[in-house]
Amino acid sequence: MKFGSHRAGRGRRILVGSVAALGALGLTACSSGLQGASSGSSSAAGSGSGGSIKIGYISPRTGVYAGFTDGDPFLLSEIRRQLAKGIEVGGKTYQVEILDRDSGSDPQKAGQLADDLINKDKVDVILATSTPETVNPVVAKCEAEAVPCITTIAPWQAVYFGGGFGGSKPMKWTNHFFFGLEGFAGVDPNAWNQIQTNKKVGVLWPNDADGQAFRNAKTGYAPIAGKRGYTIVDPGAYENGTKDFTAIINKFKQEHVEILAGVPVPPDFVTFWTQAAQQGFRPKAVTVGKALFFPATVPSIPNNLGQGLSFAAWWGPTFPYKSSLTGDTAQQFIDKFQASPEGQGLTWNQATPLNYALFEVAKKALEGSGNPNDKAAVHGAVSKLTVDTLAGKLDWANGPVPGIATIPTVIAQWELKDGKWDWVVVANESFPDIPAVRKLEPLS
Amino acid sequence: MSWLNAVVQGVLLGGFFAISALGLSIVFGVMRIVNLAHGALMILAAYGSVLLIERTGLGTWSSLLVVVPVMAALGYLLQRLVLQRAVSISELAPLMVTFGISIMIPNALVELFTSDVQALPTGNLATRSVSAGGIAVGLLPLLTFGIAVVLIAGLQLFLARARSGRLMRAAADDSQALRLMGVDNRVVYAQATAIAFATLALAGVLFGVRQGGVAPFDGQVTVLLAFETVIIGGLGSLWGTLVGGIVLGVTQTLGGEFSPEVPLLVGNLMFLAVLAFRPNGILGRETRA
Repeated sequence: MKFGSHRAGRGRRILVGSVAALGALGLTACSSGLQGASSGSSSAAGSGSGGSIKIGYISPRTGVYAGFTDGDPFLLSEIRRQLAKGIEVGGKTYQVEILDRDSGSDPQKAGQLADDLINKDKVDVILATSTPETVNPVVAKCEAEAVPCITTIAPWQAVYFGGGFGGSKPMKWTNHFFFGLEGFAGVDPNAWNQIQTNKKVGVLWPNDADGQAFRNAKTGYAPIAGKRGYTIVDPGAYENGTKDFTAIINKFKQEHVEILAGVPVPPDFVTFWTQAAQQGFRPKAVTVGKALFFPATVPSIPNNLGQGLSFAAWWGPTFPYKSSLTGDTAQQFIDKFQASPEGQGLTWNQATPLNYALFEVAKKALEGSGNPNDKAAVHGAVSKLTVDTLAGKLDWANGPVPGIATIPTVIAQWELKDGKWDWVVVANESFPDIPAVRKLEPLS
Repeated sequence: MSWLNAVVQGVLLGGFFAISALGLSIVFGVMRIVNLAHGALMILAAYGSVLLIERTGLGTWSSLLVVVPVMAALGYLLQRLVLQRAVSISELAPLMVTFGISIMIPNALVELFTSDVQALPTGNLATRSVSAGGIAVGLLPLLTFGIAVVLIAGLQLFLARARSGRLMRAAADDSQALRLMGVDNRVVYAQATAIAFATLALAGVLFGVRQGGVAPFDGQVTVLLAFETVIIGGLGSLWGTLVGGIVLGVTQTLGGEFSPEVPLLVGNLMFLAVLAFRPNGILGRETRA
């Protein structure tokens, strides 16, 4: 019983062509729909004796990484409020104009936006955030055009080594802050040590930039965790979007894995974890990055299977950080966000305070530069900066490599109490200032 | 044993691929329209369920009673008011229209629902399994496979026996002759689209249940796999969709037995192999034109 067979020849060519077109266009163009939506700007009139400063801000407001920028509308109006009176540099007041742009989670577009901001809008400094897909092309453009660039939310190795820096090619114009591999591999064992296991760790390292960095035999995850006595069971680099994890689950079962770690994307982790439950794989501890970072992922895992999962956290209500603009504590910042019109219907996430801190750093650097329109002076000021921000203490003078400042992580565990999902800090050896609420509870 | 397990899991995965591809197969088989928005529409349907669960207290399954007819109506209207006109412009116009829709839907969903995952709870269904001969079979994949088989059998019967089903086959074969018989082929097309949208609505909600929830951009990968399923199975053949899904699913899980790096790759290779050696698909008929 078939229909339409006599025209199938022509039709098939259309269909096959469409698959190709979809592969080429679909994944990049799908997210370019709302580019105009976020291009606001604050008032800029030269009221003081100074001039004006233009700050470009590029973030993935739409597209697959839009989850990182949920809080952007809130933080942008907050920042514009704080900077409405301008920035004072060397006794002169400069009006500040913030040009925010949406990368659509697309590397090509991120690079193009940086180009436009530099060459058309003539910005003084560029800020970029959230995943190497947006950060790296902006960094590359800023380095090429000699414009100071401040970035965050991408493992620093992915930005530094991933961008081809190091050795004879230093980062000349970029200052990045975030943690790297050490923020996972050096911290995960702190939580594992709290429970009795056979020290066998099954890992989900996908076949992407993050996964490859973790898998590296010399600079990756295994050597760091190995020093603490843990053995890594790596089933191999699976593709993002894999729909069946049977082979990996079997491998973990055969090797008697009792701990699960990795950096899967949220849908893959949910697929894996649901299937693991179906097929009877139940490790005692789960410390998974990336997937569990989004507050909406864990509650969505079927049958409350998110209970007891843990992850490396870099920011939360109990972290002893304060905004250098308003003096708000982490908890006050969360309260403000939830109460704001832009925060309605959203759960706060850990990305917003880091995006906010980009502006704190930019303000401090511009103030310290002596002349905010002098690009070399601005970049020089960031590089010497040690500043307490809403994202913690950022110190570019003492980073792992020039141009990188790191922030600490602790291990947090999800729990469901009275029908509400929340996470609490369980292992804080890496940063004792953040109080640990209790020990890691093993999964039963 | 692990090989047998891989095959079983692959077959069940194939049921999910088949149900995701069914609507695409119908729209293409009857109207020759390549619906690039197929994946996005599936996700739209799943968001319909999310909305109903939030606002009316319906459960995930009972929300289907509303979502499926609403999506069917949407399909009918979309075909009558938009796609039919696009077809009269040029062969590529419907492609552009559906491509546009595939961009509009996820971005509109981001605006309305944020990019957070929206949960589609089904209690412990997604994690339950039955064990047979040492192989654990997930209840939800089993259910999905069953729904796929029943749905395809039902549609097949409809196309063979029901008057409107026969008209659809006639419209697919020769719409001009059909018009000469006094039947408005545009109405037949719209009915076929409505059926296709009903199946994709069901597939979308099943997808959300499988993943525990939906996010706006989930349709992108789904639609690619649906295309491959249709082509592997054979264009215009409903059972072919099931066969294509199973072949794709088993290829992927068997590939996973060799190395976790390869499932999607060997799936794509299988797709290319079918194109090269059996261009009409496994159950596809020889092309006369």
